[in-house]
Amino acid sequence: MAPESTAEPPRKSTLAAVLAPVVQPLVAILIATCVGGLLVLALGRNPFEVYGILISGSVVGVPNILVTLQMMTPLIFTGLAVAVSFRAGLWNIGVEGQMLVGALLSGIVGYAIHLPWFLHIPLAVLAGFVGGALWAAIPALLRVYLNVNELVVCLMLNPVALLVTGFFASHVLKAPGPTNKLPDIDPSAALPNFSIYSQVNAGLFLALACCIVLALVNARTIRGFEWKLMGLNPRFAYYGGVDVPRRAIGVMMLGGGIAGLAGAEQVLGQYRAFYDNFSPGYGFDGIAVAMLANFDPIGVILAAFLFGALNGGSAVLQMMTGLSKYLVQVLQFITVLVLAAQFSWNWLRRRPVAALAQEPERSAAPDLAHPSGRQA
Amino acid sequence: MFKVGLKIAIAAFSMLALAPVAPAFAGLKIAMVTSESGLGDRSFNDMMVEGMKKAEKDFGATYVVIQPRAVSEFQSALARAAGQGFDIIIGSSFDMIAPMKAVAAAFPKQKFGLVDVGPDPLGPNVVSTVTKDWEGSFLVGYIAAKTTKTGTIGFVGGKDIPIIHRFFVGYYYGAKMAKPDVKVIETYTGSFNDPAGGKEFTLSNVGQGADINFAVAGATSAGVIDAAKSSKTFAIGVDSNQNYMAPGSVLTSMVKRVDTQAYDMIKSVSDGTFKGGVVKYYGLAENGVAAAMDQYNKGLIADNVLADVDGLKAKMLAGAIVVPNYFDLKPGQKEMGTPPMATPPSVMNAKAP
Repeated sequence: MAPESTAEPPRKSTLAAVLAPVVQPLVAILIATCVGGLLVLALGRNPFEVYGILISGSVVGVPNILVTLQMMTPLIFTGLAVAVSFRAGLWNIGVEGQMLVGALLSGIVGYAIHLPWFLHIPLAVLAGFVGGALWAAIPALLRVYLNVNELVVCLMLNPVALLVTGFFASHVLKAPGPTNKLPDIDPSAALPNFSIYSQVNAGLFLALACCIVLALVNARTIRGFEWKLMGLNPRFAYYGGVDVPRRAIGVMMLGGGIAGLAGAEQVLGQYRAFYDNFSPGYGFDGIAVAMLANFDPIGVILAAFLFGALNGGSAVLQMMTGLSKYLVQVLQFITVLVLAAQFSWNWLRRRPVAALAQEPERSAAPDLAHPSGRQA
Repeated sequence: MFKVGLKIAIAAFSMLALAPVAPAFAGLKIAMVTSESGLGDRSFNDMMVEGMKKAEKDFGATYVVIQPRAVSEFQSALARAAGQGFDIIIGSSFDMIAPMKAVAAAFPKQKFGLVDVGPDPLGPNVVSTVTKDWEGSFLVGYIAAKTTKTGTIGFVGGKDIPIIHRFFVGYYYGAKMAKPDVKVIETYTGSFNDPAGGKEFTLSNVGQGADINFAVAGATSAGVIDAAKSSKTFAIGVDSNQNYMAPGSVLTSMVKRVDTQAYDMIKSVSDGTFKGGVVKYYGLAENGVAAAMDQYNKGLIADNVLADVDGLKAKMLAGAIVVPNYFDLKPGQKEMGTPPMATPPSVMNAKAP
């Protein structure tokens, strides 16, 4: 064993302890900003001017702030969905697909059922949650009972969800007209929004509430502690008395449900109908958001705000400078790249190469149904 | 130490905030809002930018292109552009009708334009356009009937809906004018987003002897063109110039000239003739439709046929030929257009609802 791990942990000042969790993301953002600045410079533009427009276009003035809030809402949901699963050690990267299925069910409940608003809205939102949770149950069950890597199944189910929901939107339940979409939802199912400038809607408050609730669950409840244990070491959690298979299925379905809420918010609050292929990749952006937040629910809000601001400022940047939307996406992806580099750097440092060589398979994918290593 | 850092941060931030943001524009300022597929779609969005470029050259206008990532971003993009003092904001997507209506009502002084939508006006400060696709379909129908070797041509539509029937009726009318005994097969795949289905239907038409198929089916059209390539027959593209998609297999494309439509909107703002609340029709006379000719289909159409087409165009402009619009036909109607010709079986045998 390495000598420094047996030594007494170094004393940290209070300031350092407070700053520790935010240093990593801030460094990533800083590096990304510098690299992005160089890129802007290479395009023959003044980086200060471009960043100035991005910032003023996203947070200065009511219209811009409202658009930023609109852009961040789906990212809070998808980021939270990823964060919840990752924290429990389950690599749920199928949030995009879970969101689409949730959105489809919300869209169907929104137009096919007629109820007063105080029943219709909750039911349509719930349909989104259920849709996402059921879609997430597929990789969860395969993972727990057949030990199929959830990473692969989740990834493969994303295009399946896109095509299945697209089939419904273009064939089975298509609304008349040239666009592949479901009929518009009833006004009684619509989440209210507040301004002509933006489609930000009541879904934002639901998103924030989800983050706060999960932060409390993580910090204050046994369930939250069990998820954390599973994420750190499922076998240890099993010996500690955690019902690992059930918790694994539960947390995957919870993550899927939250992803489904992202779909519900899009359909009920922004589009007012299910559109085929509506997402520009919110589920994948959610992975970046969750990583930037270090899988912390409150951090997700801040990270989603940053990404939302970049997306919101993007349109202003385009109209003020004629630069392309892709510049903003590149800036986002550089942040993710830096974070991913940090992430794998830490991971490699924590696990000496020798330990990986001794136990290659188990450390890669522990058997969740039989975490003890024995077959029942 | 910390305080110094904070001061630097504040100074840097205020520098950012005060940095001059608005570049100096001369002449007209135009904003174009693309559909979610954005630039590089080799279709409407790219074509409209061509119109912008022409306006830039002719009127010294400057333009910016705003590319929303999703349909949900249309409204905020339009609304925020409306606050930026553009002389006109032009949209390019059917899905922009509702957002543009809402934003145009909220900004009554801002001028808006939207290309290739329906016949309903969007608001007193919005000009919108309808492309007379039936006139373009007429031209390619004529070319197809003159070019076919088997005497049979096909039509592969997306959904079996009136707006697509409008293309078919023009196509049929043109084909029968070229060759009264030509056989025209009318098929619909049922989807605008199913290239595999497009291929199946096209190969079936080829099996029935059709050696030229007109694809009016959105993304399904790619399958029609693919089938033409594999069966060594011809396809005819639609909306944008699709000749490049399979050089030698695409006879021509029935192009909707949205670049002209965008250009004319800018022109009207430039010379002060902009009039909102109207729907403009773009047919042959307005340079709104064309059969695309370029290096990819060079030599596929005989010179005498091209000469005939020029003659047809002159007659259409003079009013000697009026291509029938499906929406003016009644179910069961026997004759259509000027000069009158028999309606296709799908119209003739239709029962009034």
